[in-house]
Amino acid sequence: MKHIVILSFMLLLGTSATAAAEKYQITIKNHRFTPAELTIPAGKKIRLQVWNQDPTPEEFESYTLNREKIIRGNSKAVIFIGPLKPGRYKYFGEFNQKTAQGVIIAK
Amino acid sequence: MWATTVIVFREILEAALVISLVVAATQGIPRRGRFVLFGILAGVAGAGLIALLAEPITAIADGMGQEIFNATILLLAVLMLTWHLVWMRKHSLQLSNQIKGMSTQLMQGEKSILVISVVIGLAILREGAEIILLLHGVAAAGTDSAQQMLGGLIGMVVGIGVGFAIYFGLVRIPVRHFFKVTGALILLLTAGLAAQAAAFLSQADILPALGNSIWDTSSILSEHSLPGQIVHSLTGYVSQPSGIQLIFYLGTLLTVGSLVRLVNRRPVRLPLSSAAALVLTASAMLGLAPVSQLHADNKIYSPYVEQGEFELEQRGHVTNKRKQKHKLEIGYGITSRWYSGIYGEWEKNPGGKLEYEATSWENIFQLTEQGKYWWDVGLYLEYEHAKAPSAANKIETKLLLEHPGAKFTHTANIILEREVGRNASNDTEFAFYWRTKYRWKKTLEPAIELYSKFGELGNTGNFDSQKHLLGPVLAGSVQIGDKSKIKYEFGYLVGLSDAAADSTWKWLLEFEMYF
Repeated sequence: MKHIVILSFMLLLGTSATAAAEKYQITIKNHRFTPAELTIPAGKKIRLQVWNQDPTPEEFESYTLNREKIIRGNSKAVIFIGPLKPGRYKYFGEFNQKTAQGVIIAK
Repeated sequence: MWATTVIVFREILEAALVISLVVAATQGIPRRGRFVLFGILAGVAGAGLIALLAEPITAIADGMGQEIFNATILLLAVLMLTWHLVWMRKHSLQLSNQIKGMSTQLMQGEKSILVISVVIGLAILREGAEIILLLHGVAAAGTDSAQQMLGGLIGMVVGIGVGFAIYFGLVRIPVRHFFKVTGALILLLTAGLAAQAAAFLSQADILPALGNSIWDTSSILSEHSLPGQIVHSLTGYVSQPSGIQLIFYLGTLLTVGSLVRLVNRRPVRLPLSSAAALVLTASAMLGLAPVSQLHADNKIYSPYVEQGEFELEQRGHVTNKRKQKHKLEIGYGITSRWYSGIYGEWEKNPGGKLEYEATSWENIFQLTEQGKYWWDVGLYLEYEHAKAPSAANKIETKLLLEHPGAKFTHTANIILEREVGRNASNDTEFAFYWRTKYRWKKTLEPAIELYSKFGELGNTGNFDSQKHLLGPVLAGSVQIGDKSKIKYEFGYLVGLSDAAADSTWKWLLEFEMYF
């Protein structure tokens, strides 16, 4: 039973997995995101790599995107975003909210 | 230095006990003294050979980086000590029985007298090899070698002395108490070595330090003072521990301590368990069963893990029949994929007291990156250790699925639970949970939760014998400071089937903090 559940689930995953998502990168340096504005295509899933070049950790967070991920100092993390409707989606670094602000623009 | 003393002392004493047992058991056999001596010499020679071999091995391993090598040696020592602690008591009992049997066989001429030498030689070889490895571990932890030699020597002399004293009946210490006390010491020592290993690994940047100095007691007891040194080497005391050291220390203490207890626990008396079985069969025949045994509580899990995040959580529920359940959990995101936590479980029946039921080890593995597929996938694994010896332990696995959409977040948990160990039933219980959450705002998200506990796989019975609950839940999180937040859930579940309580209030309060 367990195997059947897992197996059928794998199949489900396999069929719903889209073709390789386009890759984007945001870096964190001195508690700021670059680019602060990232434009991505609307209606498509993208793969976003967040590279934290600060020695301190940061939490990438966006309520509108429904994403939340801690990235340790000097490391990278991957978050998949979308497909999004056209619009502006704000995100911020929770550990340094004063400076770490950014926006993803879906066109 | 004192760590070496304790280790050498204990190993020597163990060997001495084996020798005394053999010598005592073989009284009256001609020429046995010669064979005893031969055994001792052969054992010492063998152990010496291992010591010689250990040197080149150490040299080869030096290339792999000092920190990693030290940590490896330390962890090996931790493993050996654990093995030693867990099996020692059982082993010593078996050993004395074997030796007694051996002497009868010897008397009857069934076995060659050389057996005496072999038993003694092997005992010394084993203890000797252990000493060598453990001393390498202690050396890796950074005591200088002259002090170690001195410590070892003290341990050896005292060990041999006590061995003789016991043999000649000079001391009548009950050996079991003796091993209990030294056993406790070795347990602390093991935890200390594990913490040292953690320190090396975080130095090599393999593990996070999780805070460099959780507290600082160097003004009260410094490791550089003599008393501080003694306490450090005996108990692993550190005046400025890092978070990871603390976790390793407590983790080892807990794991090894419970292993020792588990293995050496006396078996339950039969009447008790057969009575329980009788009650179960009787209730089954009367149609009272199935009593849903599923322990899975009313919480729906998300498949995400946040590395470096510490969690403290209290959750529970109370039914209209005033049955309460409380859980207190503490956990940590060890890697970006693995969260591990420990929780205690308390229950209160109407009119009764709040009673401690079980301890559980909970693990969440995040299997896919956030948002990669329509469902994000995680795996949940839990081992529950029941407090009552008559109750069975459990293993629970859950497939965690979540779809984080723009307006709604959907979460599903598919649950399988199985009892293990003593008094375990042979069924697998099955359950399915669902939650749809409306993302109104961060501090307040209304949701609907469904809990369907179907009972035993392949024998789920009809709807009313299963437990089905459904109801509204309010959830949200509040930020406090930069790196911590409080999450809450509060809900009211209505029982849809007869077996489920008519109504249940549930709550959850969680404190999250990043180190």
